[in-house]
Amino acid sequence: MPNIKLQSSDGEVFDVDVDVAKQSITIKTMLEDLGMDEDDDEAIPLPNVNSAILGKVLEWCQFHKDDPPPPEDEENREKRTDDLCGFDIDFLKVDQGTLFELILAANYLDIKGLLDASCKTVANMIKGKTPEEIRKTFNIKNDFTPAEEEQVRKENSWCEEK
Amino acid sequence: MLLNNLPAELLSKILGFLDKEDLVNICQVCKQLRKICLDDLVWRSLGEPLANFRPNHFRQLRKLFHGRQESISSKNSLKEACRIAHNWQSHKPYDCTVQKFRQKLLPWLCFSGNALFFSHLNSIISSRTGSRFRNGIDFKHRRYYRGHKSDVVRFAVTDSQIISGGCDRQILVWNKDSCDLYQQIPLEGIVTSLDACNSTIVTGIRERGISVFRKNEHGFVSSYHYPMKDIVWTLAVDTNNRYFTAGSSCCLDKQPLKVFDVERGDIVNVCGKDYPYGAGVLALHYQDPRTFLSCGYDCSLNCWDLRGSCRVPSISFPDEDQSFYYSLDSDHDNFIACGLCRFGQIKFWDKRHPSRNLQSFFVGNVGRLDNSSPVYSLKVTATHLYAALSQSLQTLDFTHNLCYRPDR
Repeated sequence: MPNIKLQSSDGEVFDVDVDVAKQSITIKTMLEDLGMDEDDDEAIPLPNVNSAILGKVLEWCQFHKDDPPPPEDEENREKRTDDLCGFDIDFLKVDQGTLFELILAANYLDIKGLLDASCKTVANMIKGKTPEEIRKTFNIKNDFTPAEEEQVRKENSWCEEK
Repeated sequence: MLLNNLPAELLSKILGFLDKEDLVNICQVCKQLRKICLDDLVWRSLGEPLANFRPNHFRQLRKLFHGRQESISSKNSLKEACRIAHNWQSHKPYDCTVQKFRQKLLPWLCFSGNALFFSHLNSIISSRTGSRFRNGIDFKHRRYYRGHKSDVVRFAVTDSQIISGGCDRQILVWNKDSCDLYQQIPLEGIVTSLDACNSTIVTGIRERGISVFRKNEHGFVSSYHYPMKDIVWTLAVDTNNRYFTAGSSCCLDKQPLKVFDVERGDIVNVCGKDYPYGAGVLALHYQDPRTFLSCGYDCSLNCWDLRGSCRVPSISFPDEDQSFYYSLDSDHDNFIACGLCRFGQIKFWDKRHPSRNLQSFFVGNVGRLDNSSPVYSLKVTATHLYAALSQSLQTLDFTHNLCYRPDR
């Protein structure tokens, strides 16, 4: 299998199987559009991803390299968050900082499967929580004045149980 | 790195995986998340679309709230449309009496454009509707369509005309905009039911059967007559104007529900089997040219798919109270509203969940506990329900914040 080199923002070079790397649409497009040769010795620079995150991303790509390509139509996709595979659940059991970095990296590298799985993981962390619990979970500051808070509660109370 | 450091497009992608219950909580966390939650993108992919929620309802809401922005809320959003749809599904609306009648009547309602038409004694009255009017209806400016010598039984509204059948054995046709009488058609009996489209009138006449009138350059002329053993209580022309369905009283003829070809005048489908004596059909509603709803004295609401054999309904909504349905309307999608035979009771259904109704409530009981009236006719829009009872016309408003309790 031909390999390519990827260089993270902090200068580390990763030697990767082309098929693994091509799960990133960004890298795939670069290879195709820029006519980069597979036996080229030059590393592809990825200035938005550091080595720790790139290592994680490539680990995910390695595991999912034989997956069928994700379906195209966004509209008909079922909006489930409980359909993550066992590998993804364990893989995404990381601290919040890493999880958000992974979301950013998956978005930049355009890896739909990883982006969906990581976003669903965050969504699962939000589900069933009150506003105060959400603030605690994600360490978010409440920047509403008491009057604003009351109005926001008023305009958002329509989903409560009767 | 924190959650709110993610760019807005990624935050809305995450929030797009949440349901409405979680989204309203997210709105209350902080200003940044609240702003992202007002984005339509977040609400577009709700897990299961709400019952009374369709894209054209949303367009109506956009118009409705246009220019009415509040200090820290933007009403002009899909979130607002979801809130109102949630009200239809779960909350009892505000009930207002817009007109009381001295005598007990059998009023009939039609909706066209944004105007509501209702029959009152021997005339038909039209009023504009919408949320900018008090109680959702503009009662100051009314139009009257007059000419019947006796009570109006049923009427229909087409693109340019109002067509009505009365106890005075005639059909009257008015110009919708000018209210001028356009044509007068004498009949051999009292009208029991009527429906019309631009080119055709179908009417049930007591002890005679069904008469069909087609339009030519001189107006409507009699086309054919189909004798029926029973009284025809209800008629509905499909939305393509190719077929019409008749519902009769099920006394002499045990097949009360029949579909006719408008052009040829023959029966193309007989719906249902094993009707008990007296299981007459009282109301019909076409959702699309191939699907219609029926209800009546057999205590059930049925959905029929004309692509099949129609021996059994495609969906049946059993009524646990064993009371029968007088009237029905739908949003032409999943949402169905039914009026029952007593106490001004109304029930809502979601076609996807026929085993249990969404909600059930009583209208017209404001300050008067002896209201035993059936709901003779009802119409739904994106934001309001209009119901005709024997002694009043009611509007129900679903745009309010129906759940908020400040004492929590």
